[in-house]
Amino acid sequence: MTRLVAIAAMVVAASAARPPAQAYLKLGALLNGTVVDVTWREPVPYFVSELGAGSASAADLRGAVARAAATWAAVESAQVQFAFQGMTTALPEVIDGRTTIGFLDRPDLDQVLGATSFMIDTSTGAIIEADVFLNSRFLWSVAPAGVPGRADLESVALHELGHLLGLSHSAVGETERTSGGNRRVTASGAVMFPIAMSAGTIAERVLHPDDIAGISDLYPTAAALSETGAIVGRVTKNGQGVLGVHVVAFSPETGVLIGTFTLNMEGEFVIARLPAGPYVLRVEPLDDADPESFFSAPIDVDFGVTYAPRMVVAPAGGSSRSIEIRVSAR
Amino acid sequence: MRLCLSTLAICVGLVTSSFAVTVAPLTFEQLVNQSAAVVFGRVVEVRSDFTDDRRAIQSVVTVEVLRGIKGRSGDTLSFTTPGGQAGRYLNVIPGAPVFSRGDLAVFFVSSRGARLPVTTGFTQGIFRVQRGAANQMIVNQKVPVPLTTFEANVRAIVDATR
Repeated sequence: MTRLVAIAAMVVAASAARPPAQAYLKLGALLNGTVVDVTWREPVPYFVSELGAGSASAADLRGAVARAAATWAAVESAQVQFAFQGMTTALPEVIDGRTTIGFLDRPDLDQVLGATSFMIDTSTGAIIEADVFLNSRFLWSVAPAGVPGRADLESVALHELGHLLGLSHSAVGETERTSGGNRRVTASGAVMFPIAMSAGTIAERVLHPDDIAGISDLYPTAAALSETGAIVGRVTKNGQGVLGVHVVAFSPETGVLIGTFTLNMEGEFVIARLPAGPYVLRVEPLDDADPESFFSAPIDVDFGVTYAPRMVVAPAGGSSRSIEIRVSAR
Repeated sequence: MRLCLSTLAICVGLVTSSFAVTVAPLTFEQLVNQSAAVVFGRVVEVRSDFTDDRRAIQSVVTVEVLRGIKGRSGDTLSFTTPGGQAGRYLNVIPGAPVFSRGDLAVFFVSSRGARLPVTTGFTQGIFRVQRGAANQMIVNQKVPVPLTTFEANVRAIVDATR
């Protein structure tokens, strides 16, 4: 019965009203020729696996997931709910029609802290299940203040639950090489940034405006629909659209920073669910995260940072007029 | 769960790929040193099926080696990536690399003993290559570089650690 419920509940939701350039930060599915969002239509039912990791117990995981779920559910402009179904002996890799969150020993993914996996029945378009695993190869912590050298379970769970809800990665973040040659995240403007902050950090237990805009775009409340706006536009180079450009909207009034991408060959973009108001638009190559985390095709990164020629207003309950931003090769 | 072949009605991530991992970053030096082989190649086959324990679907990606850069490699190299389609079931691992026949890239792969290798650092071990101006092969990275320069950078690290 569980499986039937899951299949019925987790359908790929088509939204014919979406702008042509599918919005940022979201998992996309091509259903009968139309790209649609992946969303849940009822509280997300999930089980937690009873198998612990060496550094964290199943109870630790259950608690961390519950806190992460509560963080997503607390977003005022989105209608998100989770429903804990209980503990299970199943691992988060078994195809059983249940959404299971748990630890797995994945030495083959030794750089991966966690991942979310969707199983879809292509004959119906239904998502049969979506499991989340945390890699028990890593040392984990659930300490309120974090533990140096250990990855924060709640932070990673928050990221993976974002995927479970249908969000994809955000590029609002910065990395740098340290003097020792290591690479580290210096600033993350989104929980959905694909690279983890340094072990021991608990800063990513809190959602950023970029995450909130994304989840509000997937599960908007009535108030969000009427109070937020979208900025639409196109990025071109030598008169041609550019795929994979990172477009960032910055509000000088509030400091809000929300990003998106151009997601088609016409270079079109849509940044939806922006708090209404004026924004500075900056376009830049995707250069601070692994492009393969975002695109499975080559993208153009051969252009310099460019700003829109004027500020653009996201009108409450509507969209801006389309703006073209022209970039040049470096 | 019974499987049957079905016409593909849905596929995920054509435009936006799909993503869902939190990755501990490697430096380029670590990437080179942790890889058993580094090759520039073209994807010639992607074959997906259930794993032996039937718990998940994985894809075996076969690459025609156009140039070996590190390690021993034959004419072709195969590695696995999580996810793919088996019959009517499509397993999408957001963040996992997705390949199509004809894709060009520099692949960094890690050995796993008797099993097929995987890309080093998951998505970090893949650098897509495309033709740039003047028909030059360009490696997509933070600052795009000619493929020849990229290869030289890899070899310099290999030579330095010998």
